[in-house]
Amino acid sequence: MAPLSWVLALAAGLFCVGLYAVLARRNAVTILMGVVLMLNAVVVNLVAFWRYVEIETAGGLVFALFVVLVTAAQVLVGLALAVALWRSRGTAVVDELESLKE
Amino acid sequence: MRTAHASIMGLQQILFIVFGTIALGAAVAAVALRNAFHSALALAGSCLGVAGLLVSLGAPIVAGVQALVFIGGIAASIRFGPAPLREMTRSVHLGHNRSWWVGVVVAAALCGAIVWMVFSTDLDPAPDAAFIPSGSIEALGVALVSAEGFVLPLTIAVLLVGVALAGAARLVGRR
Amino acid sequence: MDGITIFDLAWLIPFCPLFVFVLVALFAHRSRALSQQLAIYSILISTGLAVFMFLANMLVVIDGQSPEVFKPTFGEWFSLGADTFLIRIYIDQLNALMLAVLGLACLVIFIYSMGAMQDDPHAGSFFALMSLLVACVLGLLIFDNLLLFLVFWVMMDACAYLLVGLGHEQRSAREAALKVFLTAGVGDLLLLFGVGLLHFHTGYLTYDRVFGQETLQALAEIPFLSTQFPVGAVVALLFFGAAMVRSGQFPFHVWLPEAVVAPAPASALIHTATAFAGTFLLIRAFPLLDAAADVLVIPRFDLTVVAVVGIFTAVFAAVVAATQRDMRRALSFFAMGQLGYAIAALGLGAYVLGVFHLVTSVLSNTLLFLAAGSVTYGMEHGRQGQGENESFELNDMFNMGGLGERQPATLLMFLVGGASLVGFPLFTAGFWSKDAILAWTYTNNPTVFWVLALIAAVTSFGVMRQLGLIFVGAPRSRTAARVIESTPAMAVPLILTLFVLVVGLIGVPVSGASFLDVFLGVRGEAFQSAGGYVISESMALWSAVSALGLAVGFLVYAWTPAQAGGVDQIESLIRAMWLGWLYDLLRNALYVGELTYWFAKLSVLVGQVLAFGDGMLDWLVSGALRWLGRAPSLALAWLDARILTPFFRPIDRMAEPVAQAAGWVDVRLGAPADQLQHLVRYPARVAGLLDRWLDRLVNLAKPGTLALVRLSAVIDKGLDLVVKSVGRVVRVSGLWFRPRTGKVQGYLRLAAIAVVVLTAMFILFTFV
Repeated sequence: MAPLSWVLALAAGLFCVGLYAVLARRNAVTILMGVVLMLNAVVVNLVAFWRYVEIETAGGLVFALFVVLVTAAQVLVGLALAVALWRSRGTAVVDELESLKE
Repeated sequence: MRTAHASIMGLQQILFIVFGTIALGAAVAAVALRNAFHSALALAGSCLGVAGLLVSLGAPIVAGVQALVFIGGIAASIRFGPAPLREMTRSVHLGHNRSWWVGVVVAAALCGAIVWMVFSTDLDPAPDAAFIPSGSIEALGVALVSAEGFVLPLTIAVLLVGVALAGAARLVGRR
Repeated sequence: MDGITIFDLAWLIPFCPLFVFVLVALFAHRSRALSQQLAIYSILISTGLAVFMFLANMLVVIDGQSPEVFKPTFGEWFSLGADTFLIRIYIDQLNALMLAVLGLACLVIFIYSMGAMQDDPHAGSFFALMSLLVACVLGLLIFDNLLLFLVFWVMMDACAYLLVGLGHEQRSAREAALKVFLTAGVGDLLLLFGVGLLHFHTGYLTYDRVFGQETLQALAEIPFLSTQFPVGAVVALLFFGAAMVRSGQFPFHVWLPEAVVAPAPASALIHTATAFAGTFLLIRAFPLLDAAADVLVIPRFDLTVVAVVGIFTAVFAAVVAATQRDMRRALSFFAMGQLGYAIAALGLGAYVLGVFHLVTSVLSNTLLFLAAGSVTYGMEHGRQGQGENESFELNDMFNMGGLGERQPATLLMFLVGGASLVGFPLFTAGFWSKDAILAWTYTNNPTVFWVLALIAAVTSFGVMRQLGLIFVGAPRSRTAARVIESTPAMAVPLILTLFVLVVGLIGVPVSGASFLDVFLGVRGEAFQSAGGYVISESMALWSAVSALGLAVGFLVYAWTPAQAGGVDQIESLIRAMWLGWLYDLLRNALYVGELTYWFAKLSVLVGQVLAFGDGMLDWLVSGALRWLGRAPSLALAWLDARILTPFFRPIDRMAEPVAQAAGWVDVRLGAPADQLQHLVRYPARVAGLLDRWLDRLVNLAKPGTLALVRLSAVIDKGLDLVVKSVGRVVRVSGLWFRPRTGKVQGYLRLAAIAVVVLTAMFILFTFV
């Protein structure tokens, strides 16, 4: 069995890759993809802890399932927003969305 | 090289390494590729890797849901979805920000911090459980729908997804 | 029977047309071809099933056994009190026969419609509505629950209204549709009352419970609202009233001639279906009618009423039909008359004969209506491009003439149908059924026999008149000269002619009882016709009388056909006898239609008067209320002005002297008050001196205080500066860190940095 720490480290790596995407990419859809990666990492974390620590109860799996569900909902809305933005601004590049500028 | 020592390391470890590599590698590809469309494909691949990881950890249900939702749903929507989505992902941009280095720094710092944390705590030794614990599916099902289980959060989550669906449809469907 | 029989599919019979109605109404009505295909398939299925069931029943009877009545239950509908309404199918011999005949007629009508509705823009709605009408009648016949019966009955009204109003571009169609609906509504009300009363007294609505022996006995005992009429009689009368309206018996016959405005197959179906429905109600309620006690010294009161109404309608219809100019209206009156015959037979107690005549007359009427539709179709085609003026009536028989050469198939249909209607000896079905009734009355009620025989003569005259006017002679208008034969689909009713010729055989008595006797009489002795009637004598008599009528008609209308622009010969003859008023009265069907119309207007007027009165009442009441509200204040004002003020005036006048007195007191008391003032001044001077000394003291201390004030000001400014500079530093540093752009990633970046910093701090504090 792979040690828990390996799995957690992998999850951390995934998380940070996603974080980079959120911070540094310009396309709205790609930013959303970064969020998905981060949430995937969360799921891996949850399942890992469930597997290694608390496997008798089903709570960990339930939590993981809910995270997946919520991710799905969030991606749905995010993509829809991106489409709406595209339709109204003509661009999907986040850099050009600066109407909140002071 | 690793396969030569397959008998020393367990099957689960091999699966972990393989799928973990896929997941991480595809993730890096997803965030590094310029073409947003290729990024989406790489994301699907990363999700596949994560699904495999979850299977190796003994949660095939979550893996299945994951596969359905992310690979099927997202990747498919980006590939076959409404025209704006496809246009958005196909237009070629300079994929990265002007201050992308900030992102690298921050991500690396955070990653380092967490990894260091993980490896310096004394985690319990891995329990010697069976490869895929049986009965977990049933327990999960019972937990999800029983009144003393998680039926209320399940209902709320489903409602949430439903509302998101409706809202997304409204946003996208308006012409 | 435990296995699955054909009867298990009985539910399909009303269900198929209903399903097709839904399909066509929702989806298919734009496509004429699709709607007519669907309608015809459903009718095929329903008719096939009905015929199979009839044959199954018939085979069992021929075998000499007594078939069970088939009653599959479909489950509970709802519970009311002690009763649970079941949806149940009830098929016995009577049902089976009627279903088969009805199905056949409908099938022919539908196939005919294929050709007739070719150019009609309303074809989709037409087929949907026809399917619905068929479904309603079939449902009416099949289910054994009075409530369901009522539902289907009312739905038939709606269908009739919609079908008549199909050609709603024309005003005549709209008016006719309204008349149909309103008159039929009266029948619905009567039925509703009847069913309600029945349920109130018995608590059940299923046939076997309601028409069972014990129930009938009980109903015959209970008096209705403390009159001498028992409840059973009242209910029976109400049912008969509803059946009267539905079958167009006098005086509720108004709507039937109006309904001919619908397209020909629709009016054929309406006449057929409603005839079946009304008479079926009477037949089912026959035990109720039969058991009605003697009321008002008239034995078997209800049945007598039925017979009287039926006979009168037969007379009325036959005579009026002979005066009509519109071909379709004449046919409608003929149909009405035949129904009158059947109902009279029922009223006279000859249950089986009534059913027999119903069946035959339905077949011949359908044939006639469809043939008339064919004539109309031909005339329509003849009218195109002729430039006839606006008031040219397409269906006026005096605009036709000589169509026999151009429409031979139609002539044949008309001939056979007319012959059956008249009762042409030996070959037609109508002959056997009419003869049965007449023979029965000959032995039991000779007066009635002679009345009916005379009417048969008038009917023959009328039919011959129609045939002569339409088909014989030279065309009396340009349109008639250009008439063409109708499409092959419309010649399909010729099949019916075959049936018309053959069906009569089921009523022919063979050694004492006819097939129909046996078939229907299986249900019980009460339903058998009085057996053994004399055949030869009555037959000869009435045939002779009827032939006389035929001959007169032939001579007047066919031997010397009417000329173009000419008036009806008989009409001119009657007018010459100064009986023109009588003729007009007859032609306009005794003005019953106008009477009902005026009655309706009157009731509207009464309603308006009542509403006006109500408005007046309103005005009065609100005015009264307003006045009531103002009254107290008015009264108070009056009170104040008239009573209180004069009362208080003397008191007012007293005020001045009092004031004067007070002033005098003030002056007198003033001097001592001034002196008091002087005394007060001394302490004031002392206080002033003290005040000056205090001032001097304070002035000495002033510089000190000034210094203190300046010091505090300086400290204050210093603090201010510190705070401001700290603030400036914070702001600057904040601005330096904070992204000022509106870009979301900037903010995210800052958040991520913060997270990292926090994590680092966490690590530092926990692990180090």
